[in-house]
Amino acid sequence: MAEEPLEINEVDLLPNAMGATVVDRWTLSSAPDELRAPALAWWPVARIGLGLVVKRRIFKVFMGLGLINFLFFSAMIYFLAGLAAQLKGQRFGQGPLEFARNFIFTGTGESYRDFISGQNVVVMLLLAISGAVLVGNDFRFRSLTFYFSKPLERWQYFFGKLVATSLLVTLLTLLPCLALFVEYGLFGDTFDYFIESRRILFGIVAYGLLVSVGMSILLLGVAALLQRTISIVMVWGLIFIFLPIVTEVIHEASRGSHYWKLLDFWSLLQWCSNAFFGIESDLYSAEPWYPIGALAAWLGAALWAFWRKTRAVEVVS
Amino acid sequence: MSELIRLEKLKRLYGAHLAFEADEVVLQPGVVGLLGPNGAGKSTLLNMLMGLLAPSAGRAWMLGFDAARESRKVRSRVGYMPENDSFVAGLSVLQFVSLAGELCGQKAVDARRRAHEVLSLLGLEEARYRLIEEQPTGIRQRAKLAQALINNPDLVILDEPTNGLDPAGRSAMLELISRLHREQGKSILLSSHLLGDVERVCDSVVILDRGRVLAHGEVSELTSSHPNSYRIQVAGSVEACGKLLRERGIELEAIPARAGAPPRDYIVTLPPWADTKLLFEVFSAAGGTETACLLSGLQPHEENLETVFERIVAGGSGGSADG
Repeated sequence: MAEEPLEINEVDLLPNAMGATVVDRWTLSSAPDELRAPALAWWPVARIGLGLVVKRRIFKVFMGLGLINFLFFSAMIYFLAGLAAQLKGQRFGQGPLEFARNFIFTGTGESYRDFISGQNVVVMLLLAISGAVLVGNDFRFRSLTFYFSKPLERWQYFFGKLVATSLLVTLLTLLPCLALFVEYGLFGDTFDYFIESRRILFGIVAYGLLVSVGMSILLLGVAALLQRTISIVMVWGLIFIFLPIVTEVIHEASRGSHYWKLLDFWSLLQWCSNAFFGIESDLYSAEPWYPIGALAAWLGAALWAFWRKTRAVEVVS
Repeated sequence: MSELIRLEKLKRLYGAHLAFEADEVVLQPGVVGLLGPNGAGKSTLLNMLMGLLAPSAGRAWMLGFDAARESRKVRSRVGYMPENDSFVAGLSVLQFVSLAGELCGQKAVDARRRAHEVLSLLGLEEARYRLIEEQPTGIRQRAKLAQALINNPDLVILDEPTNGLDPAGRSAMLELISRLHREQGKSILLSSHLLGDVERVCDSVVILDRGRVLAHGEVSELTSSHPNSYRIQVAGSVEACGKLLRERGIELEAIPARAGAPPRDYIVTLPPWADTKLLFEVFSAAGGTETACLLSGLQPHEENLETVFERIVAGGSGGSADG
């Protein structure tokens, strides 16, 4: 006579298994009591925004481009310092060395200004490509509904995005420029360069921060308005390529009237950099409020656009 | 937690247009359904309850917090699952849910641990490392629910949670919602057009139309069957038999029809001592008159939520089951 098949219920067996831990997925541990200060709610927004850009291949390409420029300057400072050490005390070669030093990197405000201005081109391209990832997609994919349904205020969202974008720009401008400043100072015979060049250090920090924060605010406004990469790139090109060309043509046609240059964002940054580094310039020397006002207008318009677009978001719709 | 929601003379106007108005509504913890046709004021109410929209007058309290003045505290204790997809593109399911925890103030490591737990609870173990925007609707809906649960909220607001789900997915989601209340002790505010969903999981409902609270109360009370009460369909002139019905002690209530059409359906309530024979006698007598009135249908008066909703919205009368 055939035996009845034995029914095995695995649920009955589990608790008896030696050393088995039976996990009831319906039992949640309590949510953590220790919470971050509410004022720091912007930090996850910044971290995630930065992470989304950094893991993209295009970011590595632009960082590489920025790094090539930095390494070129860094290598030249090293090369000239090494050459100067070898030629020390020798009359031969001092002339060409001085010529090369002044031609490549003089360690003056102009050198650092030109380095940051050179990096600005890479920054412009990086931001144009990253704008949609940083901000535009939040509108397109309704991430703002998600963000604002949490205990996060609109200014915290803005600040988080601003920090993320500014950090990207800082990585390409302020930090390498500071590294060049330190390198140049260290290769001198004494550390007097650091003491004598406090104005330059101020200029690097102030100009670096202005470029980082200024271009970030502009990007947040443009990206909030346009949202898609192709549109952002087009408007970015309009602001940073087309407008400077048009204003330069009008400037020439109007026999040197500087007022048209107020439309040129690059020109405004250049004026600010001269002011920060203490470089004398004829541009707006008699009316400094004009470029300051124009820059404030650019940034104010970007802030307004960003604010308007985020205020229009309905969490429950 | 004593009261889930309290509204006191709450009003929201957009210009001259009344978007929401409620005199006094108190809802106790449990699973509450928010019902109403499009434009009824559901979104306006939810926005005001979460402190995202300032009321024009009156006040609203959620979980004991003033929604307008303590918006941040309200949002810390509430989980909101939106109707539409709202994701951070480029994040995995786990990163998305962890981010929700961090936005609620949790430290990154705590948020990640909690996200793993919540995803396991919702059966998303296998999907957790995949990009959220590439997932099918069912997983995206669960991910949205997971981000709403990450901060262990006292109240979960679900806006059309079964949107876009197939029947099996819908059933699973409703079961999940029921278990969240039953086994996790969460209160749930469920906003849905699907009355069947609401009836299946909700203890009580709030019915809105054109910005006003028409009714609120326990589902069981609103849908309770009425002894000695019948729903009838009548053809012909009802005036003649209406008089006869009232003379015999039978109450007659017309069920309003849509778009101004004359009513055909009525609720009749017989005296305690009578049965349906009395009804047939009356209609037989009325059938012999010149203004003939024919009884074409007769069912016991048992309302489900759908018929209650239709009746209340068509009637537009205010009230509450609990007084």
